Amino acid sequence: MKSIIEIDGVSRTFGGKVVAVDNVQLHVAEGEFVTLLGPSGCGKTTLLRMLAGFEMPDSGSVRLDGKDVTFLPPYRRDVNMVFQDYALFPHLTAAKNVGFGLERQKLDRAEIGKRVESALQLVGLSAMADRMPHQLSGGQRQRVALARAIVRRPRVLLLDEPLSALDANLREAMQVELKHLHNKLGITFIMVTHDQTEALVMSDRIVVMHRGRIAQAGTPSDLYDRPASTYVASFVGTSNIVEGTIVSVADGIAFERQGLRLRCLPLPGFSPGQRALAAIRPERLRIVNAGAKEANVIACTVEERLFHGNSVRLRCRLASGEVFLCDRQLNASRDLGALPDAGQPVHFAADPDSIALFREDSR
Amino acid sequence: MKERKLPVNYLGLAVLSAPLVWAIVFMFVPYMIILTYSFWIKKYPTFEPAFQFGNYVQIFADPQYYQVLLRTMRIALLVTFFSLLIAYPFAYYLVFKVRSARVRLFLYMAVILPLWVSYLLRAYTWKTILGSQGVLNSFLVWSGLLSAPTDVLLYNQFSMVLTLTYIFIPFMVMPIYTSLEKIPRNLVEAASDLGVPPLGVLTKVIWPLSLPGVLAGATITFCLTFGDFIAPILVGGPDGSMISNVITSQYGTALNWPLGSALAILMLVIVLAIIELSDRLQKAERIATG
Repeated sequence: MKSIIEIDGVSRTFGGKVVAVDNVQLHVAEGEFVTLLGPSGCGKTTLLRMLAGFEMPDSGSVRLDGKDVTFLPPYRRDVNMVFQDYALFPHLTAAKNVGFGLERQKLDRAEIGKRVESALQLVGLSAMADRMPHQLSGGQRQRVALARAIVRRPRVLLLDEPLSALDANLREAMQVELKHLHNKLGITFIMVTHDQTEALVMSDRIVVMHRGRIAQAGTPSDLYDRPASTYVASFVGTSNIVEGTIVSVADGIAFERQGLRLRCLPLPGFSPGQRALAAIRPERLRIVNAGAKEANVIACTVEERLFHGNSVRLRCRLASGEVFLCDRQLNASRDLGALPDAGQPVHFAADPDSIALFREDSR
Repeated sequence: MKERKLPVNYLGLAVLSAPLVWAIVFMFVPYMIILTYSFWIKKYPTFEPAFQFGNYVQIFADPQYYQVLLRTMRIALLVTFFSLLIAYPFAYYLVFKVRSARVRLFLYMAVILPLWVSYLLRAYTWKTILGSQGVLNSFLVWSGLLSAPTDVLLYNQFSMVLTLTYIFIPFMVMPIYTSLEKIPRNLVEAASDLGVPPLGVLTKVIWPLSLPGVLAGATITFCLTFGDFIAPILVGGPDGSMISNVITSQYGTALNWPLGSALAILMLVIVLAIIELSDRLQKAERIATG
């Protein structure tokens, strides 16, 4: 597919010391919904701002639809942004905010009015056209910001933590709405977020960033099921991570940590005696009896039982001292009583294919 | 509950009483005395109590008075205009273009610091710059631009407007700087993102959002200039005297306190009207932007 955005070898250092973005390579296909995910300070926002034109890279190039825009000012780029705190003009009505960018284009008044109207309609705010920003709720302001960004029909829509200021319920509804809007408009969306759930729900592709570099890029299920590093494994979703040694690579890999022996699927690049990290998702653990004939039985002690409504999280500790989490979905019978209580021993079984192994240097 | 409430009221009263007494004794009472005087009649060699509007009529009938009033307004408007013309680009440059916070603070202080210097000294400075033996004349003669020192620089309305602009410009810079600083940067970015070039961002986003600061600065500058009486004495010359100078002379050499009081009351009314107008505009602005 054709790339609409080509970011090649882009770096940006602030004040000569802080490396915000470090040699990033990223191509985005036309119509894709890509999310830049990472903790604060990972460089995701700087990368987005370089696409908008608010920051210039120290090296590398940014191309938009084949055209080099690396040093083009924001007002000459065919992209529009939804700002984190919306950045609505406080002295203009919702309709004037939406129409702000259209007045520059050579359109007649009727055409501007029509476009503003249809953009407001698209976000369900036709009735609020004449309200001032301070008369709107947070969710409504968000919609105005969205309408303002799409009314100019940009090739790429940039979203800087668009949902972070909304409360939980509204955020979930807007996630779905944004996704629908993306399908309807067919334009490329680039979103920045630190919320992994948001990224998993909305994106075609997630780019996990770590210290200015891309840690891993892939589809949500790729990232979740086949994380490239323990960093990705613990940032996207939750993982139990145990540090140990490879004891054998014949007939699958055997991994050991103070009496805990795990059999994993065969994987190239490992040799006996090597230090390694094993990661297991909390929901992949099954509770079994002490003497169960399973490939991997992990013995722990329950420290805490946390009720999450539709699931229960057991916070356990291994004999070697690591914390181990296990999530159990509660089924229709709500068998809370069948789960072990704090202080009780528990045994988990982990299928070989549920264990991800990483070399020690992959952190 | 009662026991707790009572001391609080006493405390509030105690805190308020000193400024209240001050305001009554040193502001309200003197104004009332002046208001009373303004209805009296001048009877050579002094004046006697009366209740008549002759003094006010005289102000508007005698060109000597209403022309000074008009001139004072014109000078105050010119000073306000030139202060704004210089202060706005300066404040804009400080807030949006200077990247180093230290340089910004230094430049800001450079404007504010003269306020710590005596007013007289600052006004007098311009006398030594503009005078026929002054720095500017010496330079012009030395450089050959003039063959002899000129006296057109001093003792006229030009030198008045120049001096007053210099003296009162910090009061224009401060509120504009504050209002510009309060504009969120992402609004500037948003406008730019929506395809608006820098000049459009200035006229369509920054200027409208800084209007409260402009209004405050213009009000202070106008009112301060309107009531000034030192600059006219130092650099004003015969056609540079302003309304305050006329009032001073009515209380002094002219010995016509009733007329001086009427002029003072008229001046007070004008200043209060301007402050009230400015206040209403500010309120309208606040309602419009939340």
